[in-house]
Amino acid sequence: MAVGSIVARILTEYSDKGTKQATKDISKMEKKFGDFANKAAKSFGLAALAAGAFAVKVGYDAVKAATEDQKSQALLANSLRNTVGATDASIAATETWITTTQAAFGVADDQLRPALARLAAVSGSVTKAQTLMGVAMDIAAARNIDVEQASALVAKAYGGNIGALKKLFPQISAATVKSKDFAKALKEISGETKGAAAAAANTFAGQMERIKLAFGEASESLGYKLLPQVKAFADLIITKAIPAIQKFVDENGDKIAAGFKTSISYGIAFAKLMYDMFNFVARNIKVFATLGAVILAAFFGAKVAAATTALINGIQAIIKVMKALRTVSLASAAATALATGGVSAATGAAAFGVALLGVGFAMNKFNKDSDKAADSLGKFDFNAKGFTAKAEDYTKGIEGMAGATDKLTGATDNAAKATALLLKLQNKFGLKGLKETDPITLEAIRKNQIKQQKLGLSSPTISLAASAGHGNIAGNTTMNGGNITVNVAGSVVSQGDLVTGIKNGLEVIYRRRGGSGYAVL
Amino acid sequence: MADEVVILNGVKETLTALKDFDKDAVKRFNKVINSELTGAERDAKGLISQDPPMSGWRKADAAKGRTRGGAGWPGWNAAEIQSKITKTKAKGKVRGDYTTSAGALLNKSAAGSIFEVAGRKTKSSMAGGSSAQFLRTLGNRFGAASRVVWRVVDKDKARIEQNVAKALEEAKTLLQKHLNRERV
Repeated sequence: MAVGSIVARILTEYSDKGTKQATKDISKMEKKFGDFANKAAKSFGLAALAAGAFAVKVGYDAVKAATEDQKSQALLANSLRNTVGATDASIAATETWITTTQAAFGVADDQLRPALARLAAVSGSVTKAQTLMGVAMDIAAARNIDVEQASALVAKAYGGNIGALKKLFPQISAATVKSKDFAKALKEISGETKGAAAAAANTFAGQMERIKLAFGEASESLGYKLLPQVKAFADLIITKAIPAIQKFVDENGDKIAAGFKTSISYGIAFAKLMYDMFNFVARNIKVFATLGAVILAAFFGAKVAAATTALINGIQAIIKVMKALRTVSLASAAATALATGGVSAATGAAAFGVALLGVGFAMNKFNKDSDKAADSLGKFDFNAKGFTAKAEDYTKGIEGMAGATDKLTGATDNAAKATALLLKLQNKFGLKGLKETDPITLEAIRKNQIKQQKLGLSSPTISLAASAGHGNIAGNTTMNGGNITVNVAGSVVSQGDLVTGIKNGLEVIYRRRGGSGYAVL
Repeated sequence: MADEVVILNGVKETLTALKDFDKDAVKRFNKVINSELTGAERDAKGLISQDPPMSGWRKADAAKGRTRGGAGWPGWNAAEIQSKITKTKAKGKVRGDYTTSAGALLNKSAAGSIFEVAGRKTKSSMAGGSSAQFLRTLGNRFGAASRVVWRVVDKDKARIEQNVAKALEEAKTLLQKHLNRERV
């Protein structure tokens, strides 16, 4: 595009370059989370934006993955029909087998399909091919080669070419190679290969691979639904959810960040938390706004124990709502997003959630780790496996929150009074570091209030009888018959105050009359 | 300008995949974009008059540049201005909202640019002397700033977006049909 020219953009397109930026932003977040919670709180706004973009990216990838997966399936089906005359039913069963194997052994379906097609071609049977695939996966795991390569070796060996296999497994005897006895060759290597695939799948790396694949599968499934309906970005997430989330995390960033800091698998938990927020905020924007009001009232009012309790009650009520929402099945959640939102941002967010929770279901370890993360979030109580709440909890949650808000109002009033009095005390006595929540301070406030009540005066007027020997003070405006009236300005909070006030008043009279210093107390 | 912006998603992926099944469908989609952009370009060029906007605006570039940082005031050459109003499908800079351009109008000539945006930032009431007079006259005769490409975009953007988005939807639906047919 020419530099310096006037550009009037007509058509706008989502750019996948943005995804890189989003990933960068998330990486930046990871680093920042290692720092102190205050820094993390600031970063949350950025993360929310990045997660928004990431959600769209997931939706976009889902479509792409679904397209590729369809091609891969079509190729395998075609191959099985041509080589072993497979029926539609057996092809469908093969696909199921591939899905199960993928989940169990952490081998991608894209690798399994061509390998299976090759083995079916040499063995002439889908069932035999599946058995041979097991051998190939064991060999792949034992020798750390990919499944396609291993299946090629097995295919050759099955066809009588044991030599290639011997290069990997020298223990295969020359006689076996010469006799082209595949079964014997397998027996000779079984000590090393048997169960290798299963063992590898249960290692940490294997489990991570399985998570990755589960994520991919969830993405593909979603992609099939999204493919005909992928539409442009719309304003739901951008104009409503993200600002709401930003507001929420701005106000609660410290707590969330502290939770993540102690979390073992905070990365996964972070993603899940983001999903929860997106999903929840998108559908319950009004409820969320009410929560915002509770938070605002608590943090911008007074930080007293009662207010904090009310806040926690409010949040717990919201959590109940969130749990209720999570009772909705993942598939229907995605479908709802498609049907009601009709916008790619919303579907992207749903895709994000479905994919992530797909990960959660794929692996128990995830649940354990995310539970730890959830535990560390304390009162926020994000629970990865707590899908037990019912719809009634939603209503109860709202009611609970309303009650909590009412309590909060009273608590805030009391707290404001206490704070005002505390400020007065601090100014009066020059005390520093007093806290209204400090029991000693509270007791002092209480006693002072009682004292004030006893004095019954905030700006008292004290009358003293003019006693003999003090002389004539006629002409002084404070003289009233035989009495002297002293006005004590300001509030009185102690006996000392009162005495000082009277003393000052009498000194005023003394100065005005220019007389002797009779007025000494 | 319309407040809502339609963001196209997956144009490249859809067309790449669709090309394997139905090349004509890809052509049809491209034709929609091209014809919409061409129409907009034509409309923008139509806003350039053969005569200068005002009598004092010479047709030739200033011989000795004094204004515009020494570049001199550009002459009003209608043919050149029109030739430099073009459409483009080039991807521009990716914005902070992760979007880029999929189609735009450019106004590349100096005279055309002045005519387009003069008075947009500095109002005639804020300018002094001849500048104020220039902005006032231009405003009275041709309306407020955004007088060429932006005017067309403001007027037609929503319609063009809708047409292209619809075409993209159709392409995606068609692709899905092909994929469904291929699927086991």
